[in-house]
Formats: sequence, C-alpha cells, structure tokens
Amino acid sequence: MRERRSIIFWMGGVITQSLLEVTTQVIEARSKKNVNLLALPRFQELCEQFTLGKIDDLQFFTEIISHGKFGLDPATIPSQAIEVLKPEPRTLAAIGLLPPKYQRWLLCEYPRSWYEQIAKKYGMESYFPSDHVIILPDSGLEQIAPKIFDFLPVRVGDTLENCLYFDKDPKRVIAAINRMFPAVIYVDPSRLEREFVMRNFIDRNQPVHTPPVTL
Amino acid sequence: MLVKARQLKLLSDGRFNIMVITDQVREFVDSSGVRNGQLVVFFQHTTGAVYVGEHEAGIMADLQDMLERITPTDYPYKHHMREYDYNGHAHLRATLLPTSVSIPVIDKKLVIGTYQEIIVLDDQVDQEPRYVILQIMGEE
Repeated sequence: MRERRSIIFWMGGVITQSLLEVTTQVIEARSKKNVNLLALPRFQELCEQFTLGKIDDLQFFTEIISHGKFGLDPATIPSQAIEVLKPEPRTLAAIGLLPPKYQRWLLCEYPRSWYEQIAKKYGMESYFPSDHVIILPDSGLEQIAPKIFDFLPVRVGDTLENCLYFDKDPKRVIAAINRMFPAVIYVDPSRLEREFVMRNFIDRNQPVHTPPVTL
Repeated sequence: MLVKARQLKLLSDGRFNIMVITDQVREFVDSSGVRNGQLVVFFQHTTGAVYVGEHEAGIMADLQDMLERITPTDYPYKHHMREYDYNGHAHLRATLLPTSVSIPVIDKKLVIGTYQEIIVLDDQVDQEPRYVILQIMGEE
C-alpha cells in the first residue's frame, strides 16, 4: 500500500459542522422552526460563492434569510454561527493518532476571521499548524470541485498520489476520485479511525470497528 | 410477535446524493424491543434506491460511472415528453437498483457485516426531503 504523506481534511462536516449544518442550526434556533435550506433556490450556489470568498458572511446570510423569508436580522447571524461551530473531539482525537510523518492539512471553507476564533477557542493549532490551514475564501480559486484537486497538490507541496483527502460531501469526494485524487468519504470518528487502521497509518491491536455477528 | 415502524426523513440535494443510514437503523433496532426477527428498509420514492454495500469513494465513483453509461443523464428519455419532469435517468436507475433491503436481527443485533453499510442513493433532480420506512417484526 502506498505511503500517503499529506492527509487533507475538509473542515465542515468532518472537523466541525458543515456550512449547511451550522446555517440550519442558527436559523432554526432563531426562527424557532424547522428549515430545509437545501430546498432554497440558489442555496448550493450561495454556499460555493461564500466558500470561494466571492461573497462575505453578511451577504451570504442576507441572501439565505431573504430566499427563505425567515424574517431575521442577518447582521447577528455570523457571530452566532461562529459561536456554535465547534470541532468534534473524537474526530480530532482520531487525527491526533496520526504519526508525525503524516502531514495534516485542514481545508477550511469558512472565512479566516471565523477560523481564527474557532482555532483559538478549541486549540486547533495542536492538530493543524497554522501554515497547514488552507482558508478557501482566501485561495483565489474560481471553482471548488474539480479545480481544487489540481490546486491541492501544489498548495501542500506533494504529489497527487501522496495526498489523501477526507470529506463528508460524497459529491466532492467522487469528483476527487474522478480526478484520480485519493479520497475517502468521511462518516464519523470511529469509521475514520478504522480507515487509518486499514491503511496502516496507525497501529491498533484491537479492531476499532464492531466485528460481524457470528452465529 | 412485535411489529414496529419508523419513517426517516432525509434532507437531500439529490443528483446522485449518497447517504449512509446505518447508525439511524441500528438505533431503531436497539429501541424496538425485538430480539429476533427481520428488518425491512424501504425507500419511498421512484428516483433512488436503498442498498447494502461498502461506503467507499472509489465504489461510489464507479457506480456513478456505470449508471451514467447505462442511463446517461442527458439522454432524451420519453418520460421527458411530459415536459415538466426531466428525470428519466433517475427513474430508470431506480428500476435497476433495490428500493428495499431486508436484514436479519438476531439477539437484538442488526447482523450486517463489518464493511456493510445501509446506503440510500437519491438521484432525483430537485432538493426535496426523501423518506425511508424502517419496519421490524419479530419476537420480543
């Protein structure tokens, strides 16, 4: 099995809540009703524009609130979103098991100001050194998938074959695979740890997964 | 005999969206009180599927590639003659893939294999919620 050296994690959905999840969480808390943001016109397009830094957080939430007719003040939403965004400790713990020979990279779709607050609050620096954090809104990329998979090897300074990309979004992961970029669909911390074991990144005497039931 | 059911609501953006529901199904089995029996997982739509398989990115890409070759997204399907519903590929794919799976429950455990996941594949072209029915029957 090839020795991967640069392990890249998409932040939202893997390390913290995704942009969809955090936006839903904040709007539901404020409007006191269940919302399905995926059904909003242009939702995915707005997410992509926000992730690529083409619109800022205020513009993003103003559009979402307007399309959804949620009747909320968008100016107060970004600070709430930052407040509720938090890393999943079990995922960080699994990532923390990776030996130093694996370079950990974080691909952050949130603005730098958001990331800096989250990183400070939760000590993200110990998992991802600041020079290994790629802030997508600052990247100058014109498109996420599939362009990002040409950009990443250059940005992390490794060959495509030596990179391994973890993301919760199956469509982005499939786009990566179709670009021959090694990738894994993230599900949860235990499956992440299992993936590390299967790839011999970490050593485990006991299997981390539940073995099949035998009769 | 005990029979219990639950409906899962999945928020999906369609277009070959893959959702793993194994943990939600396990939680349903755990809370059902059934010791030995059978579980049915049923996808309630005509533009997707539910199946048991390995949730691995390469397999997903290969599956999408295979389905695209057999049922291309941009083919002029006769279904499109309705002129409001341009998802012929999704309907045809749904005829090729299962809309339900049954899984044994033994000693209160869902007996799927180590790498088996219960996967919902939604190929609809809009972003509406999708519903999956879980029904378990068996002895307490």
